[in-house]
Amino acid sequence: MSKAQIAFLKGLRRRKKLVATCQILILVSFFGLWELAAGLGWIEAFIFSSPSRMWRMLLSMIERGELFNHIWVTGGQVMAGFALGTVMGIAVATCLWANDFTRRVLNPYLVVFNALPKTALAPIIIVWMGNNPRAIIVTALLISVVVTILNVLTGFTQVEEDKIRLAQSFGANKIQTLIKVVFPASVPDIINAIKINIGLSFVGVIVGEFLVAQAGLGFLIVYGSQIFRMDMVMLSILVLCCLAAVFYAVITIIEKRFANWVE
Amino acid sequence: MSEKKSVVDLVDVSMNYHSREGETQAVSGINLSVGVGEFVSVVGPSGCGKSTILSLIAGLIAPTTGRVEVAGRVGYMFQRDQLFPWRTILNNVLLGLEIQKNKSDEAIKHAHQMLEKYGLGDFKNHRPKELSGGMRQRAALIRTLAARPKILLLDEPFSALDYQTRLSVSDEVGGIIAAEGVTAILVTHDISEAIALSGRVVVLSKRPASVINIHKIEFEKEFDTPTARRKSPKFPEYFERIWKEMREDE
Repeated sequence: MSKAQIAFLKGLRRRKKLVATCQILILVSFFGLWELAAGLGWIEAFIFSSPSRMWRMLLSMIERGELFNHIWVTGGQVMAGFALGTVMGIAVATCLWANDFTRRVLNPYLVVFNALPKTALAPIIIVWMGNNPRAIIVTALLISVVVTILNVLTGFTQVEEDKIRLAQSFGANKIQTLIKVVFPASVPDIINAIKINIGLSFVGVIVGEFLVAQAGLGFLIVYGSQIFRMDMVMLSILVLCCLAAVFYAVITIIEKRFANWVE
Repeated sequence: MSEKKSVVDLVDVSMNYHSREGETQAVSGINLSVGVGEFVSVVGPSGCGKSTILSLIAGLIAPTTGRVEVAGRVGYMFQRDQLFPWRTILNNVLLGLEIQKNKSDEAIKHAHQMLEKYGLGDFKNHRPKELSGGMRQRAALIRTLAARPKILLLDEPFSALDYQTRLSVSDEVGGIIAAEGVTAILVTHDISEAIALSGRVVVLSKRPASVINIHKIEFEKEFDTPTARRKSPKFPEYFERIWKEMREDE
């Protein structure tokens, strides 16, 4: 390795370290300033809470054993809504891919339904399905399913024509074409849809929990604000951030696994 | 061609496409028969409907009028290699057998043998993107041949390669096709490629495509590979004749 190359690599590493340092610095100073401002009375800690108050809330909630239950409820609902939304979205996209006529017929409905803020439907779903976690999961599912259909369908229809002709020249039927060519070629689009879906499922679950839940992080946020325990509200939001980060990290790992899937 | 049994027969084939703008005739009254083991090239100006002829032979579309008779399975080779990036070279090669549900030990062994024979033995477990353009096109050919087609259809298979690679790959591909003894029909707009590779060259008119002339291409024994043919004194003569016909059509 030449000296210049060594210097170049060193520069790259230094830059990477610098970026990481700045990222940590932002986090530390955010919480540091918050704590300081609350401690010095610049902001009212009763309304704005503070990192130390959140910490005490965290400890007491762990002690009472309820925090993990709330995390588990929200996480489970997000996963259920997300999985159902993704699977159903891909299934519908597959049917639409296979049938051009249906695709044309349904296209305007899909586009309008996609533009509609699905959270507006949450109250209806709760009336129909009752005051239970099922209603929350369906809300999450509704929010993510249309985007999945549209994204995955775009992926399916953009598969190179010659790839399909190749399979057909070997005598492939529609199902073989789908399994051997269209699905694998659309894996990057499916992963993209999954990435979007995770965020949307969180939106659906939190909205649902705002409206009906007896447990979950969304419930904690609403309940905390009603009894004016801002420590509880802030802590719940922070935990929600962490939970979303964990979900996202898992997807990034899956995405890396498929890195050599494309040219 | 009466002494040979033909594997592909086009009889008065015409093909019209319909669209909102109207009806376009892509192919008009084509007669062509290709004998067993022959290498026939079809040349013509771009967009004249050459690929339509291949799609007709492959049975992907049906002619508007006329008959297309094909004796045996058809294999297709495209402009770009169309190797699937998510499969290894070996699994790409086995695609046709997989679709035809014919993964017998014998068929798989044959695929392995071809990979070894044509210099891809060490790359079986590599991904397509790790191979050069020429190697990829060779892998694509082996994939097509692994399904044991009687007739090989080549749709401008070298046009995506740079000139240097193109010459060596057409040598390789020509050699492999001769060695495996399949009948081949090549569609190209490159006259010299057609002369270098084939036994007959069919010259098509511009759209709607009809046959202007069919040239029998014969070279002396010492000019037996595509590259060697290009050095023969007869090569420019053939080129001149075909080129002139295509010019006069314009």
